Amino acid sequence: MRFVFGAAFMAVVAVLQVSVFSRFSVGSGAPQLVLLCVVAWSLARGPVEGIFWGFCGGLFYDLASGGPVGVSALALILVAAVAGMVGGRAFGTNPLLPMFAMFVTTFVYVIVVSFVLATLHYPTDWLALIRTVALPTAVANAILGLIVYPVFAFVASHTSRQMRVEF
Amino acid sequence: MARLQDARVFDTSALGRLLVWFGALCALSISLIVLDQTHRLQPAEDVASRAFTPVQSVLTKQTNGVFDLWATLSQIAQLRDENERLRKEVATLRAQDADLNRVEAENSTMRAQLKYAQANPQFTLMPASVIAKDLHGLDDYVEIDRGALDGLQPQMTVVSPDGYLVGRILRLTEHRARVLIITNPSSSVAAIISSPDQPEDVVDGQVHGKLLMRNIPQAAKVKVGDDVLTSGLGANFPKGIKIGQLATLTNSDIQLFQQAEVAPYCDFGRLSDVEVITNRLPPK
Repeated sequence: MRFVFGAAFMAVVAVLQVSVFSRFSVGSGAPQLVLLCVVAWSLARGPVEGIFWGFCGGLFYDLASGGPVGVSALALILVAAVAGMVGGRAFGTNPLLPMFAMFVTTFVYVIVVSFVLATLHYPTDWLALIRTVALPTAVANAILGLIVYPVFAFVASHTSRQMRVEF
Repeated sequence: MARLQDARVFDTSALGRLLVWFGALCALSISLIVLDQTHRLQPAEDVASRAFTPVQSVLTKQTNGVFDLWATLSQIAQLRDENERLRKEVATLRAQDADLNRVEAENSTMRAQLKYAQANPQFTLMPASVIAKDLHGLDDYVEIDRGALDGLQPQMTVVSPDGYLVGRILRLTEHRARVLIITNPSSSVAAIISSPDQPEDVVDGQVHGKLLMRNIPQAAKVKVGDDVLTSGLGANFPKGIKIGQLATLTNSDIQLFQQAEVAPYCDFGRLSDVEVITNRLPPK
């Protein structure tokens, strides 16, 4: 049941991202709501849940946006893993640290997505990408992270850990 | 304490589980990318499109108003820059326009000078520019940028580029000269009215830039609008230079003479260039 709810939530977030948040232009970038949710959950709950919901969110985002399927999923898995591993050790004292984490992970996310797209022969102007997309998006996400992370941290502290998947 | 209870205390098994999950999901993502690039995910994408598109369409339409406002707000800096750029462009164009107007005025003046010179070959003309003027009505004069070193002498006649009488040189230095203009109260010009009986009189300057003819014979048949020209009497001014035209006429049976105000042809307020007639000096 919790998995269904989580998947539905990520689908709604992906649709909101594509239809609403992508139109809040900041430079050539826009706030990345899916990324914010995945990183916030990963910071709050750790890397395993983070990469799982990163994959789900990325997949929904790719399907909703009409982009190459799997690209956002792959990038979100990477940033969720990093955020989850670092988050458990560094957070809890300074409220500005989630903001910093949002900035860095957003920057990494944009670069990874662009790298994968470049590998798929999409034209990429790296300097322009960093200046007009990666940095503005990272700043926007860092600011929104101040709001989003506490919400996810609250939810995480009031819900039990999800099932472990054993192999 | 809660932190320590967090599963992110990386023991070997937790790290191993993470790596398995990470590797599996990465492999799945890369597989999806490959399948997508080979168009094998098209049916799944079509299903997703059918599910997402109506929702996206509604959301987009419902939020258009908000984003119009957002677009306007986010363009404020751009609009400010554009405003600044347009201001500079307007300033540049105004400067160019002023230059063009100046050139056009110069061109017009020179054409008038040429026309007057060709129509009056008996005069030797020296062009000069007005560099100062006082037209407040008590001591009207203009200063020109030619002086004794240019061959000018006192009493030389000064006309506008169109050939209208301006006045005469009163005094000069090496490089500039003061011209007593005809509206100066101390100026008197022997004149003739171009009516059928051509009465003669003197045009006197008046305070506040007016010209007056006081002694037009009663019998003279003159009317408002008649031209007034220099008569050449006394040889102060060459004959036939246009002064102005009769603006008002005062005629009374109990007076010996008619009196007329003369409107000068020369617009002294806008006078910027003049011609000095250098070959017609009054006798000393």
